[in-house]
Amino acid sequence: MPRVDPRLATILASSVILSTLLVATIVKPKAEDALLVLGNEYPQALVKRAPAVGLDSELSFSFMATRDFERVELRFSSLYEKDLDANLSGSISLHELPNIAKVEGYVAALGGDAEVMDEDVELNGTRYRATILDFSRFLEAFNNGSTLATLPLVFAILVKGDEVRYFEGCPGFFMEAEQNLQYLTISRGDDKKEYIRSGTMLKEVPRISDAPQGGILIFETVKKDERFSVSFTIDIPDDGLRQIVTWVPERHLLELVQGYSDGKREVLLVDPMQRGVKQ
Amino acid sequence: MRIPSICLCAVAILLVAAPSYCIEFRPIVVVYDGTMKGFAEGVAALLNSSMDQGEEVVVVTDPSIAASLLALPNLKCLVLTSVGSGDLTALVGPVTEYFRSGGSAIGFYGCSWQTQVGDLARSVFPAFGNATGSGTRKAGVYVNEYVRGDRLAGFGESLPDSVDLVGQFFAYATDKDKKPIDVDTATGSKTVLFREKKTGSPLVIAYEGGHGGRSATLTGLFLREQPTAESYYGKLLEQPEFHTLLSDAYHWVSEGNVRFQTYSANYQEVIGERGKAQDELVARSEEKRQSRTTNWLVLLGAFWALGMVCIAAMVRWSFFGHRPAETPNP
Repeated sequence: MPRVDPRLATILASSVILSTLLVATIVKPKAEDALLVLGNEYPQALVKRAPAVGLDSELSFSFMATRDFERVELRFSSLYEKDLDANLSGSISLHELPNIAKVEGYVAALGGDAEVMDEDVELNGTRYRATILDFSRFLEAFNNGSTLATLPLVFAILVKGDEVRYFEGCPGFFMEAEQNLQYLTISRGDDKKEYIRSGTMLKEVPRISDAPQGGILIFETVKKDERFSVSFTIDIPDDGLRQIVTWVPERHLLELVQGYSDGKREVLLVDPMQRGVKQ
Repeated sequence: MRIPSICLCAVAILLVAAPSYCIEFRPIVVVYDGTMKGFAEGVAALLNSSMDQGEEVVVVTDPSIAASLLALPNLKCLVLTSVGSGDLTALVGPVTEYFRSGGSAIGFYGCSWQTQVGDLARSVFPAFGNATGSGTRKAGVYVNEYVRGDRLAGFGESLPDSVDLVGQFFAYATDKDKKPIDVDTATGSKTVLFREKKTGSPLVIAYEGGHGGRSATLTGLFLREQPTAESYYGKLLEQPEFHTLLSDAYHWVSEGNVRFQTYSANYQEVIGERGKAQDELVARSEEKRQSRTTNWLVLLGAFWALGMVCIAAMVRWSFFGHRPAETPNP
């Protein structure tokens, strides 16, 4: 067997060790998202009595913590599209809209501010730049969940060139959740809580009105790799939500999900749905 | 170098203290009318003249903005001057929740119709209206004839026992035989201060809710915005008795605004605690992140040290310690 020169072996081994150490020093490990989105499913369009007519109306979200946290917070809001004053141009910002400016002014006078978020959103194949303002995070200190869920405190403007689309909505899993949610499930690991709409025969299952109000879920002492999921089925009665008009798919709804870990926003999901389908 | 450090300290203290100076807990009164902005502005002007605590009166015509403003802790009173209940549909849920949380409100004719605004006319403005009564035409003006009902300290006491106020209709509750009835509320305390002369139906209702909020319901204020109309709102705004009634209603309901009273007393505390808790959470999280970074650096340092030791040992062994075997002499 040929002998290897020990000096050559030393030089080779030293090179391997040095290069490994240099790589480990120079190349930092990629920071993993604190909250990993495992699932984000939502229907393309919402209509009244969707389950009865065989249309999917279930929204489902799941997340995983990638390290230990003291507190993970998930906040849901639903926004619907509204007409904007025709005189407003595409260069207008959300802060300049008279109504928003008014709310923002009063909140600022109280020493508060809105959570400002930017995201790209695609509606009917067109990509818009969305700016979202959420006043609920500041105002929740003075309002309980059921009050928050009735107040328009989340606003969004979607801009592409001169085209501007305006949305406003309330915190909560969905608008008027007690009437419009058929079923809600909130899971943390194996711990699963289910809620159903009032008027259902199953007596032992808690009602939607017993679920955390205002769409705010708080999980304390979260361990690495713990998973959370929320899913709900929307079933809007015929005489419910005037914002949903079956044959007007041009208008949209936005379901907003914000995920915070230890007070820092890590996740923002903006899910667009048509308010109706083509006839 | 002493002066610059003092200056730096002063600047730092000012920066820390600045946010608390910016906070202004100024009471706000929101007057909403979706269709008759002029009427809302007139009512706002009257309220302004009877306020003495630096309140800001805001007139809004968009129900969304009215609902958004209900979230403010410094909202002292909400005044809904709407005549048409269609104006109020979007506000039923928000105002009901606001009242349940201890807020205070004044509602005119449109708020009295339980068939149109449901819970609003039952649990906030308990007129339970399901029928319309007609006012009396006097000197070319429609008026409702108010006669004294029960008395309530500080609300309508200085008004005469009988007074006419401009208004074409009034809303009231009837039984199945269409007879006017008084409907009691399930919770809280309801007082009818003035009644309609002919039917005895409530025209001014003071209500203290089960959770502490107060409301005043003025069921007879059905007005029109055309100056030529016989129930033009401008005529009501000129009546001194209406000024008194409105001012009394405002003071009575806002004195009972539990929500406002609570937050005006401890607003700084609530904000301070909230900010502190949030800052501490973020600081702890940042500390953990720093700790993770430090641990990584220590680990990296340890690997470098170990690597260097290994290299040094190998070099010593191969270059200095290891002697090649001697070749035997032939």
